[in-house]
Amino acid sequence: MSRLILHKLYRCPGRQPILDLGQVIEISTGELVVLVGQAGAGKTVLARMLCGLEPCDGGQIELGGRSLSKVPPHQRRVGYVMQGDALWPHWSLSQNISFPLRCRGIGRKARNSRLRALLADAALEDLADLKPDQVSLDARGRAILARAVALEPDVLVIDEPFDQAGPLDQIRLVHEREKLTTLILTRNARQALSIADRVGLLSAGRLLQWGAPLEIYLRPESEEVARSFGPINILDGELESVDSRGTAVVRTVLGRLTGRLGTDRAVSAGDPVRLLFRPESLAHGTTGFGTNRFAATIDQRILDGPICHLGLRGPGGWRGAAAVLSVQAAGLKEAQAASFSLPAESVTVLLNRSDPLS
Amino acid sequence: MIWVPRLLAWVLSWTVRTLLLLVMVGLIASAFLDISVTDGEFRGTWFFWALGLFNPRLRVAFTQTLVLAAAVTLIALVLGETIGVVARHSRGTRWLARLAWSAGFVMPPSVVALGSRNLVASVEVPETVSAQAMSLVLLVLSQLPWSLALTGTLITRRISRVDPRWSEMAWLAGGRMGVARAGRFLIRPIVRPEAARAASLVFLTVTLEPTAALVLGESRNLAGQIAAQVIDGGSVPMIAVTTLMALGLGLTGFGLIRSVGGVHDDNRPPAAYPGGPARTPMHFLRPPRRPLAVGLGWLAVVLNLAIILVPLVGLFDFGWRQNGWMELQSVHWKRFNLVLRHAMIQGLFAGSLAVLIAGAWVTASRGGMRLWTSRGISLMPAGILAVAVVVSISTLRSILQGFPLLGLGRDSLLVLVLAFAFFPTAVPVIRRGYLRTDPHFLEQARLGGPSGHRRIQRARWRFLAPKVIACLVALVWATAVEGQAALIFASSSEFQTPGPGLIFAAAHSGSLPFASLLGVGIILSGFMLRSLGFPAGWLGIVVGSGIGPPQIRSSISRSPRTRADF
Repeated sequence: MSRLILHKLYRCPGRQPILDLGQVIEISTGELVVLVGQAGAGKTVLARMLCGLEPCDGGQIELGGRSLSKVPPHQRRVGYVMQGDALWPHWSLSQNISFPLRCRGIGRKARNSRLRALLADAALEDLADLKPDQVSLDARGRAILARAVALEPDVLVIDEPFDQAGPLDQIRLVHEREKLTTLILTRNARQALSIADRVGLLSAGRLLQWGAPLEIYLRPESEEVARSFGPINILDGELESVDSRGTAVVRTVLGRLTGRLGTDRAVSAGDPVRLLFRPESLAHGTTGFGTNRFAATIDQRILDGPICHLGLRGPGGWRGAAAVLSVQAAGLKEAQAASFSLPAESVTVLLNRSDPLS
Repeated sequence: MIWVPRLLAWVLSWTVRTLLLLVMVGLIASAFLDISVTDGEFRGTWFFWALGLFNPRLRVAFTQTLVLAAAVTLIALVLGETIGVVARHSRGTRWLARLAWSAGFVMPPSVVALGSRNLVASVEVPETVSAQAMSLVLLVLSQLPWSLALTGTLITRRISRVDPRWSEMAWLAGGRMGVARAGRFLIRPIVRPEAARAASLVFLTVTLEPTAALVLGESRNLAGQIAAQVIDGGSVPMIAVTTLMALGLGLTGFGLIRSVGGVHDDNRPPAAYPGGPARTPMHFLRPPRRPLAVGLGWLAVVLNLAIILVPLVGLFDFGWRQNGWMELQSVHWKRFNLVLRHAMIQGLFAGSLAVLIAGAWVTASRGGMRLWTSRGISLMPAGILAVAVVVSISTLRSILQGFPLLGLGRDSLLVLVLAFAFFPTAVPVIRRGYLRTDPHFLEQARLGGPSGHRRIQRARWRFLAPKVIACLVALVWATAVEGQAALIFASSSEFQTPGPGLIFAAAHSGSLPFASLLGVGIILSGFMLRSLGFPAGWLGIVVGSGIGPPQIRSSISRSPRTRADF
């Protein structure tokens, strides 16, 4: 068992905390979790705390039931892929990969057989004798990953893997084969959604939201989360009513729209709210399955393969975007008025924090 | 008319090469010609070579020089490397080390030798320590400040390029064993070539540096013997043989040490740290402190500072406590003024000429790698070059019987020799600035016509001016206080400049306070000019550009480091 539990980790080397998770993150054995965050969000600090390279000022790290607080880095059984290219430039790829094995005093025979397996898994057999400067970025990424898993760690921590040319497939492969508990820290939200079992968003050292990729994408709990994972339409309005199942009716400049309440705070009719919905949840025409319907003028029309991106202008100066299938957008032109439908499940209703009363 | 300055630069650089070649040929010829025969027939002789090889005095000098150079090189290497490694992790060590390097660079060996001698004279040395051992210790001590500064600076600069993540990865991979292996297999190969480069330069210079030996009255090393022979008007072939022997020893050591170091394997730019430049990488990625290493580093730094403080205490002791200031005012003031005036004139002429030659050299070679001669000259301290010139001229005069030396006096020759000896120091500085000018600027200049070209030249000078001015300040000081070449040329007028002035004064016990004051003056002026170097550079920016520094900085940051191709 290599279940990883991060208990309210806290790190404050100066006056301002650089990491304050504030909640317990539990990562099951073999699960692949991605934490997304911009530069300075605390991703690298978290990775280094996991490895023991950075001390914890608060909270606790638990791996497989044992606390890692006083365990030195090399005894933690954590494989760490550092941000950027951290291969040793004087050594060949095979020397780089076998270094951990040599340090642990593994015999030549066992070492060589393990090295051969690692090189084969990373498709680096032909490049084994080349130095990092002599191979492509892609090969370097694979070598770094192979070095991290050489000692068969319990947990694999990867910091900014998508900076490298293409270790994404390699990460999938390693994760599936070794069944490793994997934590990826990245800025690339789109890649994160495509690979993760669970996703979280880190911002200024705090974990804003945490859950399944689709849930986070479709039901963001804040505007920041919504923006971080893709383009979003925002519409201000006034709450008209809300039922016991959390379905809210909001009066907006586009008319009366129904959505799902995305906040736990008590709300009442008349509260200023903000509606969030993804461009692709809009369907052109009144024949769509959405319960919400409104009309808008098409400002801009950009064909992007199977998808057609539409810039919309609605009443009251509202500006938004829609992404419809290209085949459905065949008859649409710029400056043309069109009607759109929007399913209520795709609309998140949040309290409008910009309103001083909220 | 772009070709005019280019042509002038080309002519100047080839003149320098030709003159140097002539001097070296003259030096070698002098060792084979018996010029005591002046009836128009010269006979080649192997006598002096045999004399050189079998002369017991020369054999002792050879051995002593070897021991001295090896000892200084080893100590400088060990201390410099220890400080370099530890300074990477400890801010305090870094700060103190920088102070030590600055002090080391402004303390010529003759000054250190005088200070140490003063101090040793004022304390009681145990009888068990023989005079020979004491003089060897003092000789080693005299060469340590500058050699420590050189090795420390080069090694620290190199170590700062080592990516701190390497040690961390090694730690994760293999615990303490991993860190040790990382040091041995990863960091050492990067540091080794630079350490070897520094050590080879130290070895060569210590072999050929005579001033410390002269101040200590210890001419049992090769350089000391060469200088003593030249001053006493010894046999020219014998001087040439001794010089070639010293050069041979120095260059052999230089080559051997360099070959042990190998070449740089890592030509990448300094490591990029995750998170961008906003973070302080050293703090952020610093591995946990290792008390033993930090303690060792502090010990090395304290030792280093002590080495520098010993001669300083000695100098101040003599200069101030024994009424040196009063004596200076009452007795030596006129001499002191004369020395200052001569030093300023000599420094200004020689320093400016050195910078001019370096600029011409870089322009003529277009910043390319055709710098073999400059590297060759940089391996030759001013004293040896001066000896070579003196010996060559003596031989030439004997051959041509009364050759008038083109009307050049001793002072002019000294300025020329100093400029030749010091210009290689300025070449890399100016070349770096020259190469940083973006070639795209120049293409734009061609499109812009004559005015465009002028603008680009102005932009290039805006970038070069601060470097050139800072370089000029340093060279003016160095050529003004230089002792070896000046000593060889100034045998007739003892106190012309601080370098030989100090050595001559040190030889007379009555003039010791004056010598100490000269030493203090050399160190203080060095510190002053060193601190002036940076403001002088900024002054150059302001004067040379007419626009503020930020614009220049941004234009520099846009410029890739490529060869300027015009």
